[in-house]
Amino acid sequence: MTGHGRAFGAGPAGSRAVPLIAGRGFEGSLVAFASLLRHLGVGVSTAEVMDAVAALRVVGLSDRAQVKTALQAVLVKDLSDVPLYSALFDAFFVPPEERRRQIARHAQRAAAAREGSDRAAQDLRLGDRPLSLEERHRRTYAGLSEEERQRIRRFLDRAAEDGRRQPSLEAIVDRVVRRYLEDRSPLSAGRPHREPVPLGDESLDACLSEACLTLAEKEEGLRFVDLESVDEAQLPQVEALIRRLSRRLATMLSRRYRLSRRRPAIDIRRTIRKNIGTGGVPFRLSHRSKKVRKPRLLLVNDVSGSMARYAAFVTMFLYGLTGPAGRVEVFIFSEDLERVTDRLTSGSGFRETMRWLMGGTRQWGRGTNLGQALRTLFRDHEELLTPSTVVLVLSDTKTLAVDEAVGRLAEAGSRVRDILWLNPVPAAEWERVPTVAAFRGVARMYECSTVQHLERILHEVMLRGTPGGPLRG
Amino acid sequence: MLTVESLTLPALREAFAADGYVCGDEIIVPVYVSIALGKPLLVEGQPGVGKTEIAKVLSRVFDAPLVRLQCYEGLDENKALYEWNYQKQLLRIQAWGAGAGRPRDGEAGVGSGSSGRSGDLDGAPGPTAVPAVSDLEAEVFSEEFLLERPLLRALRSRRRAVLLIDEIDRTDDEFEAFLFEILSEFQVTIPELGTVVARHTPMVVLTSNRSRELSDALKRRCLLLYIDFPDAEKELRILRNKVPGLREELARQVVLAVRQVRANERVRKKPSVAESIDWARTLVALNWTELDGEALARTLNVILKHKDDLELYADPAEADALRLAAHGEPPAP
Ligand SMILES: Nc1ncnc2c1ncn2[C@@H]1O[C@H](COP(=O)(O)OP(=O)(O)OP(=O)(O)O)[C@@H](O)[C@H]1O
Ligand SMILES: [Mg+2]
Repeated sequence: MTGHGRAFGAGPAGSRAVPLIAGRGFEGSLVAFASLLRHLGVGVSTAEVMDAVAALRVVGLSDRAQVKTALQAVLVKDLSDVPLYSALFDAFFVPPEERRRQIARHAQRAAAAREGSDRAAQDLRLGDRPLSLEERHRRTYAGLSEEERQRIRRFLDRAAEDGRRQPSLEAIVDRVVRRYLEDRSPLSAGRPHREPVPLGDESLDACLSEACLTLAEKEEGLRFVDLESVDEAQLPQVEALIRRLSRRLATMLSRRYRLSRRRPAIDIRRTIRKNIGTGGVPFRLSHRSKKVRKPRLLLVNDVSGSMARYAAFVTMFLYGLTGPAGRVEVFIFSEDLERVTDRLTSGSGFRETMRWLMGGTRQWGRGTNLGQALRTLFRDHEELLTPSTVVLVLSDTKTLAVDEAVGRLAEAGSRVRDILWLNPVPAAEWERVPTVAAFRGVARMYECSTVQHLERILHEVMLRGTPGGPLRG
Repeated sequence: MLTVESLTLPALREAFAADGYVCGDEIIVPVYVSIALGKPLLVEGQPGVGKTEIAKVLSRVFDAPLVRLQCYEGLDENKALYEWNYQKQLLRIQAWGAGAGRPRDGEAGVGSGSSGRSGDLDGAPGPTAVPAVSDLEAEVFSEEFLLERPLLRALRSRRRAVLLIDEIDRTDDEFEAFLFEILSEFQVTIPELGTVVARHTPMVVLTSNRSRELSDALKRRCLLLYIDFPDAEKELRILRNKVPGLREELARQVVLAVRQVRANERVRKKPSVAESIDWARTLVALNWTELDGEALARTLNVILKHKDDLELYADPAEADALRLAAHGEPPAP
């Protein structure tokens, strides 16, 4: 092993060699690298950093791929962190001239962000008074489409007029806009990845920002991949993406439901529609007519054939959303129904069940039968069908006993808050599938074959209460 | 023969290749670093991707004894580390009871509770000295009565061992915590015998199918190697290495056919690399040179272990699709 000492030291500056941070050596560089990993949420212990130093000593720096593999083995213990590690490694171990370019690009992005936020500060005022908002709100505003920004400006213009007549309204306007921007952020802003919190070191911050950008671009691509075609190599990335998205949505949810317990929610959409849409109408707030209650989710997964994969991903998303103790019940069906909630919540059982779902080991070969599955649901789990329940059916609609299934869904529909149908078949093909029409009569049907679809739908269900889209019947 | 002390990455790479293990640096580098650092290697991956094989290869190329701890639900310290051979202890005690009870010369007054028991029957001291109870106790808790289990065997091995802890995900948290301690210290304390310190830190390989999440602490102790499914090229090379006498053309057909079966979503139990190897061996042994309809019909049971899967391919259409796939032709419409 000692023979490997040769490789480092001066280290040939070949394109594949790994440059350390100038003047910091193995330890200094790896301590910095580990701090960035931690900053982005990958747990790294001090002992692991020491192991990483030792690993570099035996592997040397001359072969970039080897170094990357070695450090990964030492530092990354959760597969879903691999994409992040990889992006950070690529951004961190760069020669000085590339670091300078990173810093320049980072400065440019920061300047653009500042500019956007300054413009937002300009725009977001009520008459002469700037609204009391935080930086994150201004960022969200800057990220909106021009059309949406215009809508907010028009709203503020009207509000300013009304406010002159009724000064008491002023305080409410701040709240309304703030809330509107919170609702839009960060999902609708279209940024899957937030800018990392700066560390205060120009060069490390540039590197962080670069890594997050790369990752965001990659993830951005993955969002649109049909989940069925996700291959083994992409699995950890998709898993990581789902985890991140669902966690974020969960944070938004907890905020929403915490707020709603305190005071009646203002229905921002209705308010804006009323006041801007018609123009010139005196400024009025609309309150949500119904009390917002966090829905109980009841997921009914078709796991026959290729549906199993979708089932696994959707289940994974829901669990990230509610946590294992959340209000979610999971069933699977092929020729009959089976409750798997307990399997999923029994601590160690989650991953196993994922694999079991995805492995498509459930193959009965007697034909998918939603009618039978729903009969069992009514017989054994009727108590779950309550007015606060939202039923999510995941299926391509290819089933036996269509009539029975339609009838039972209609009956369920009269007891629960809503029934949504997630269909991985592209909407463009629905015309050609007769069963689609039958089920659309009793459930809101959404195309759902990508992470992007899934996120949108759940965002709607959980935050808006009732999703838009085609109405029942 | 490799030695840990003089190991280099190229030497390890060569040794693995020479032993017939097909892999690139994505596997060799973590294995190398784990040995160089004396850290356990945790190998994760789907069944049959070659996790267990890594430990076996290591044992061969280092000429090191392979000590295997096969994990299962309910595995405990007694089965993993050591236990006292209690039947033997019992026999020893009975023997003592039958012929003893008399203190040896000069040991009369130890007050060890060797007061007259059944042993006093025939009066005179016997020809062989019979130990006092305290000595008896020491004796039955000595080396001779110890049953060494894999972990202890690996620690006490005179030569550096390869310790394979296979399918660790099948045990429970408690056992994992126990294992963590052993893998941190490479020593154990046996109350009756004292502390056993490893003569040589074993090369430790743990494997997991990820059926459950292992504890953070254990994972931090290890280096992590994830082995992905082999692509067609890698599987072909594995077959060439593992199946002597396999003709190139047939090897390709086997790989393509197996991949078709794996991709078939109606198959219940997907064949792994181990099954491809078995299949190729069977074909060679039976002198098949071509995966035609008949060869398929007669040997498919080697890779299809489930009755439903066999039935599925009994369907002429499925069988034909498989035959076409094996010959690299797209399925008929
Ligand atoms: N890369 C490889 N090179 C050579 N042989 C391989 C390779 N991968 C797998 N094999 C062969 O495939 C068979 C299965 O490998 P192994 O038992 O190591 O799989 P595993 O990952 O431990 O599976 P399981 O999770 O089922 O225990 C063995 O016969 C092994 O020799
Ligand atoms: Mg194995």
